[in-house]
Amino acid sequence: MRKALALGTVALSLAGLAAAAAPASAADVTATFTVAAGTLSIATAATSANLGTATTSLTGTTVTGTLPKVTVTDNRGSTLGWNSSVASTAFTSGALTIAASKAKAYIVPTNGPTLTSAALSAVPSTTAIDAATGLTLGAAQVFVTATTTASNSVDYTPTVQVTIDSTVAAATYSGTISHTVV
Amino acid sequence: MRMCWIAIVAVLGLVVGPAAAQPAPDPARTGLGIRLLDAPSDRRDDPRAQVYVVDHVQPGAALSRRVEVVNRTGRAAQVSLYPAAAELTAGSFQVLPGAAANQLTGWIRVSPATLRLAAGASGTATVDIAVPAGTGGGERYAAVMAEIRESSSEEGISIASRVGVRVYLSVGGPKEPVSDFEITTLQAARQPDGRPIVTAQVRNTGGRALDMSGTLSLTAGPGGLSAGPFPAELGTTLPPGGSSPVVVVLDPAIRGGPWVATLTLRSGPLERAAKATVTFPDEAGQQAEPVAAEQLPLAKDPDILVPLAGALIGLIVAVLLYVLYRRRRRDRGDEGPGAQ
Repeated sequence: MRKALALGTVALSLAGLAAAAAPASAADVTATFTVAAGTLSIATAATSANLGTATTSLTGTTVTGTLPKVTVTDNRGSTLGWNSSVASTAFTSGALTIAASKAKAYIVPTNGPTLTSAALSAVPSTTAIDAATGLTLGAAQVFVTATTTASNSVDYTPTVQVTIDSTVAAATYSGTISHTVV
Repeated sequence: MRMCWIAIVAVLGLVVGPAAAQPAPDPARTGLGIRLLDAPSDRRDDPRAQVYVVDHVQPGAALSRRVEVVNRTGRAAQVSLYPAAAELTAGSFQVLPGAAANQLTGWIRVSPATLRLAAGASGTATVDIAVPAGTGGGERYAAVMAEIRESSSEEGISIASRVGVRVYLSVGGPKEPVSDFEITTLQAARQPDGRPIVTAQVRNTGGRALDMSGTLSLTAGPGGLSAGPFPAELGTTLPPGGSSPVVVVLDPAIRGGPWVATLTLRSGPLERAAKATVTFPDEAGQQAEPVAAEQLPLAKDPDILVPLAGALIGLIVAVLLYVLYRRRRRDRGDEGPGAQ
């Protein structure tokens, strides 16, 4: 019995030494292990949207519409949080173009971001870009940041406003707006 | 040293159980999901490396990871997989629009590039990163993206959604650059909505990017009151040499001062703490002057704490084993043939 106990100790110590030795050789071949965390997910309520119609005018105008609701679910169970951004391609109709920089996105307070579920009871809310600052769709900028620790699910419905300059020709324009979560 | 390692094995065993059980039950429709399947063994104690691709390699080296993509959109989907360039700007990790390229994305190959997934199905893709020989040192950023983009009806706006795994890849010599940061100042303020906040200025003094998280506690307040800990807002990513505020939102009931604010921040296994005496302004929208923070000793440094805890657990296990051994020997002594 005493011998068995001693053997057990030696085996554990060897395992410890092996673990200690591993990082030294990691530069060439990185040993990996399997991670048990959940997924980070994004869902949109629809795959297309119509921002509405505007009548072109000499002074220019804007068209404003809401995009389908976005739901971000973080089941990774980590303390790292996530951020989402939104960007757009140019809006085109044949050869006619409205630059993505003419569009801005924001979230009106009644449209979120709303924390719909969280693993912790007391959590801070998410932060988002409001209408006053807006966010141009021509560049990468963080739109919503999760300030919540542990697993969480957050909903928000973005509003997009496109400035229609007086030089824009009347047509039906289309484009792609992408939501990115990392 | 031997004792320490025994204990570390034991500690890992204990931690894995609750961590695996933690993810909340999935609602049916979470859309398009992604997760990292592999993490390097030498970063077992780094929570960032289990969610992001975080590694340090020498020029000419290659590494490989797998990601799992899950389709919970409720319908069949074609998912594109590709690397996209990312930047650390304004204290955030930002993925550039579309399949933007940088030096790192040129080294990343995701295969397959397309996954056709039935509703509820998941698929695995391999991410191979090959760093060319002769590459200059430094850290580079990208994300492995999974994207669903459906060409919808002839008119209107198509909505694409994509989700990614961040890649923080450091290239350099055999030794990884040290990660470190310092909390320089703490500033008390009251937001326009009346909630008190503490804003800490954090400076990345190491050679790798940091993702900040942590808590703030208030002690020695008016009437000897204590409050907290309050979680720091997440989402601050600091590039090497960068400086950025980390905000902690406190309970609206907290007033006046002075309070001793102790902020503990961490990025992966790295932890630093600092304290300062702060007083909250009474009026909404006002802010006090920033106060220089005093760095606290690293009592919670994992390099010290883990071996210490390890030694303790090892000792307990040894005592238990010894007691068990004594008892068994005594039992055998009572019942065995030796007793006759």
